[in-house]
Amino acid sequence: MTLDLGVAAMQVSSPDVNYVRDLVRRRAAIVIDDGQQYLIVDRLSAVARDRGFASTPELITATRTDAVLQTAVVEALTTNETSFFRDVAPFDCLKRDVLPALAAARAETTKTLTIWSAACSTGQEPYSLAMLLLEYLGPAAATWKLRVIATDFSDAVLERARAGKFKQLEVNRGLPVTLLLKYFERTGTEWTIKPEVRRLVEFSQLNLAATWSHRADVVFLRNVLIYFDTATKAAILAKMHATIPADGALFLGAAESVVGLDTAWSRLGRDRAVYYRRTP
Amino acid sequence: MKALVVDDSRAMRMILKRALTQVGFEVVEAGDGKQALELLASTGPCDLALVDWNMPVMTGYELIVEVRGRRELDAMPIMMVTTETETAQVSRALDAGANEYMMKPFSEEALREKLLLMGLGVGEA
Repeated sequence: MTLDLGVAAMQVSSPDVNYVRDLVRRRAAIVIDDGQQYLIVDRLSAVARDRGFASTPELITATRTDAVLQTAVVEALTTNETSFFRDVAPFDCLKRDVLPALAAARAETTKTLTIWSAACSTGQEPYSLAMLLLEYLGPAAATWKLRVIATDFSDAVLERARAGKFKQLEVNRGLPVTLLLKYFERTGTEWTIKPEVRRLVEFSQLNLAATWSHRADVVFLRNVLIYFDTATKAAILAKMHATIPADGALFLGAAESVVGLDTAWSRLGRDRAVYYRRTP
Repeated sequence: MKALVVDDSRAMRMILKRALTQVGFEVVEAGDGKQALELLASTGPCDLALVDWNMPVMTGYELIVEVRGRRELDAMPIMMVTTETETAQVSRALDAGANEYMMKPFSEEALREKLLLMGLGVGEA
């Protein structure tokens, strides 16, 4: 598999894994357990790319003797872990500014709503979107065909996302407690998403730099464009034009915009609640 | 904005106080539910209360029941911050009047996200 990140997906040896785990434990008092080794591969591939290393093992080798890299590695493994309803505002905006008109229009026609989480990571975003749809439509949800397409370049995170199991530390993050009680089941120290949410979400591997045939009313393309060069970003936004209908919406990350990349998108909303629509 | 932190662990109060101060709260502390009620009686409601469950003298659960029974404190946003993780306990806290619930251990990031959920405009974009 070739990653769109430009860094080959490589196995990390167990001495390297142990070194990184020990480093993070010593520096941040955080334990990366056996079930979380995907974090090392996932997060450090981004650091390797940013710092100009050809692979994650090469980065780890250099880290052993470089205090600056050690800090970067610890930060990558301890911060910016994703949360449910990340940033809150885009989800509020979807519910308040986008879904009312979209649902009214689709209610008259196909009675389908499709949302695509295009960098779904360990599943918090697509499951948040599925819960949001169920909450928005209420009991009428049963009469709709609802789909959440969830894609990511990393098979490791997809495997976790598919399982729909989250640790206590993860469900603490961004998930309103009312939704935790309603849509999750506690098994030991883990919380598992209930089938009524799980069945709405379809996971698959996708490199956004490649082609796709997905069609969606709304696309969450959040905090992922940052990983691509300018030409690839522009190409992805151009492909989104064929993916999202004229009354649909494109959501980017809080610090991202289409400025300088693509004039075919109009910016709507304000402050943190911003989305993009195809320019007529 | 003023926050009340109720926890019998001084270390936990310090962790919460530091995190809340960083996002602009003035923090007052109490070591159990009874102390918290006495404090609230003199200061009036805070903009936020973080309440532990298991404390001596008066538990956090009992505190929430008391607070929700007093008109002047009824609207105060309360988040339970506790090691209790059974769904039945979580439900009980919400039924008593807690607005949010966070399970220990937690990260500061998680705390900021919970505050954002509670409409207390802090945290990052």
